[in-house]
Amino acid sequence: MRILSALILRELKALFYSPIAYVVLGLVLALSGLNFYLIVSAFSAGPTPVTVVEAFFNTGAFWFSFFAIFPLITMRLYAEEFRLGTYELLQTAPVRDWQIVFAKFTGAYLFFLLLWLPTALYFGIYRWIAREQAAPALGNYFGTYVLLALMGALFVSVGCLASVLTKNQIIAAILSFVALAVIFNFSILGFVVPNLSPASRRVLSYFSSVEHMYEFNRGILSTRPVVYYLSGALLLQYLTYAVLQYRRWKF
Amino acid sequence: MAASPTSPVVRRAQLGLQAVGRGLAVLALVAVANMLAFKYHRRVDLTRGNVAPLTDRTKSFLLGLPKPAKLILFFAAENILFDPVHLVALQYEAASRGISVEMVNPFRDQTRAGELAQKYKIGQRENVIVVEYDGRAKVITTDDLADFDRSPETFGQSAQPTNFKGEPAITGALIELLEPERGVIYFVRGQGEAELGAKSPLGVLAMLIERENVVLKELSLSTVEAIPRDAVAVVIAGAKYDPSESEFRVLREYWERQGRLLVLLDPGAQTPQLHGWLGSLGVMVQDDRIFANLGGVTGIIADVPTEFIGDSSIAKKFRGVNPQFVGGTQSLKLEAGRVASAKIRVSPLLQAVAGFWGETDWRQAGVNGIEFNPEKHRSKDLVVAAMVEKGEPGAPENSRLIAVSSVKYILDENLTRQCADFTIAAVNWLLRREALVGIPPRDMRMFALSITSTQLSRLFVVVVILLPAVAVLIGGIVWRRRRA
Repeated sequence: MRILSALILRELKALFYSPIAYVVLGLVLALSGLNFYLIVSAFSAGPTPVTVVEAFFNTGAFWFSFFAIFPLITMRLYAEEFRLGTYELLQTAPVRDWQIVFAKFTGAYLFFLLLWLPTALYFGIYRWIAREQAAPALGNYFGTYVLLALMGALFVSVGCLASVLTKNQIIAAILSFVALAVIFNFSILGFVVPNLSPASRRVLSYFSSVEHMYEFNRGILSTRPVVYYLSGALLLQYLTYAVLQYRRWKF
Repeated sequence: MAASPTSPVVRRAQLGLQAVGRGLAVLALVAVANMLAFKYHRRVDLTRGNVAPLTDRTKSFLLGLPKPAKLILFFAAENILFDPVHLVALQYEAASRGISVEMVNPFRDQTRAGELAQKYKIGQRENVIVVEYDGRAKVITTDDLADFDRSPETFGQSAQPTNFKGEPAITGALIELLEPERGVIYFVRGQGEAELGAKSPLGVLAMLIERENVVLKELSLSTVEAIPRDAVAVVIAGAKYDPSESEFRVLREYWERQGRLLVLLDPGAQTPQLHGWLGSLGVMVQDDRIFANLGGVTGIIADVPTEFIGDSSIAKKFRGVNPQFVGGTQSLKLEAGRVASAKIRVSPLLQAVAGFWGETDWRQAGVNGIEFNPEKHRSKDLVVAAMVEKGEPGAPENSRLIAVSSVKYILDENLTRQCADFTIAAVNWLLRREALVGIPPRDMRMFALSITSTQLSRLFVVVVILLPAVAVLIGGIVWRRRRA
């Protein structure tokens, strides 16, 4: 456990000592802030059937900033270590591959959570300024942030796998960006493809992050996305671990 | 004895095989978990404290639902009720494993929409919920899902929902569908009434009524001793002459034992007995025709726009809607006081809008000679439809009747949307469906922000400038400290 804590701390230090983390945080906050401001501006024009919280997490700007951060967070996790040769040093330490995989995932995941936590401040700030709630029930907030955490687990894992496959950070970023773009496009397939059978629509909706968000940020939580994101994250982390093991056999 | 050395190639092959085996096992585990999650899933409703939680009554009803039910949301995403309908459907799914939801966008899923439209007779521009249960189905229209403020329609804008009745409508539909047999509405034949079936002149209305989970059948009063027990209501649609005494006895007996009757009068018919019977219930059929004189080029008009009056559930539902009755409509005069002692309550439902009068000289004068005479003609309370209830107020065993002074509006060539909606609502009132559920409508989830431009500017400064700036500032400090 001590080794694991030390490894996680190492990852967090590596992330937070790098100015790029703050640039990413600043960019995400600027984009989300602008998105939030535009929604509130639009809503003040007249009554709407959706809440500020529901609208904020269902815009194109939100999904773009959400998917775009994962390559940035994860591209250097393994690729940088491979390039600088520090991974070989790490291998000489009394740590197991699964501990490295878990620590890198946890570090990146905690950073991801920290990136999105300030968005919760928006609703507090909104309440302070406008003297009204951004959503009528706690379930709206709870559902939304639970889903963000679940999606984060899977998408950070996608980035981890992309990073372990190459020594080049840029290639790692491109790989994870392409994979996430495929996942996102799969999410919206059910909305754009006409005349799908009810069965196909049900299958697509199982994988659709957009539909998951629609439900969760209205306070309806489903077990399907929980299993999908957690099991997907588990699978990808296992593949990451397997790639690391493969690197060991090669030498 | 020394251990035999293993070559690196063999060792790698062993490791590789183990890794592949483990990988396949993990993959299988993940696939099985997802397949199980897909099949056996649960939804948790955390909308408590929201404006839209499901009532405990619905939840306990759903828990006792014996067989699975399906809600098909046949809704365009642009419809103003799409969001509350979607949310309430998810809540039903969350409340019971036995409920599944299918979303059908009529514009995107045209094949499926076509199948459903044909099966459930859904109109091209209609947005409905189809509730399917055990091979039976009920179609819920937007009029059943919300009450609307129709005043914006005057200015060419769409009506705005004032509340949302998705839960009472869906739960009500499920309660109805639990009944294994669909109720029968009998259309009386034999006195010149319009026929049902393929050649029916009232095919559209018949189709719309059938969507209410009822079966329509014809009934000749001369062939029965009593109205069949499976009758949930009886319709007399435009009798041209009176039934015989024995046939009338069948009708009266039905009325006395919790009968439900929709009587659509033919103003041109000679039915003194029918009029007399309605008179005994406090509904006096007047020998007049309703006209208005708009003057100028338009002159005399015989088509009668009406308005809903009274406090009935139907009147409340359609306040602001103006069904139009085609020319030749007579009026009804209600004598509630006279029949009150017999525990009969009679109340107006539809009356001609202001400016119309009941012309009593319509036979002699012809259209050009018609003129309003305040001494001879009634110009107020020109009732076109009335509702009658007999028995203790609120008692479930009460008899119910709705009388409409003109049958012409139900014919396909005259039927308007408003008139059809009124008739469906009248049928549902007769069938007591408004009292089935007892779940109040929700407030329509409409969120209006009252934020000033100063507050908006302050919000911009804090969320777009200040928060990102703090992040960048911290980054700068970290960078400087590391350099130092």
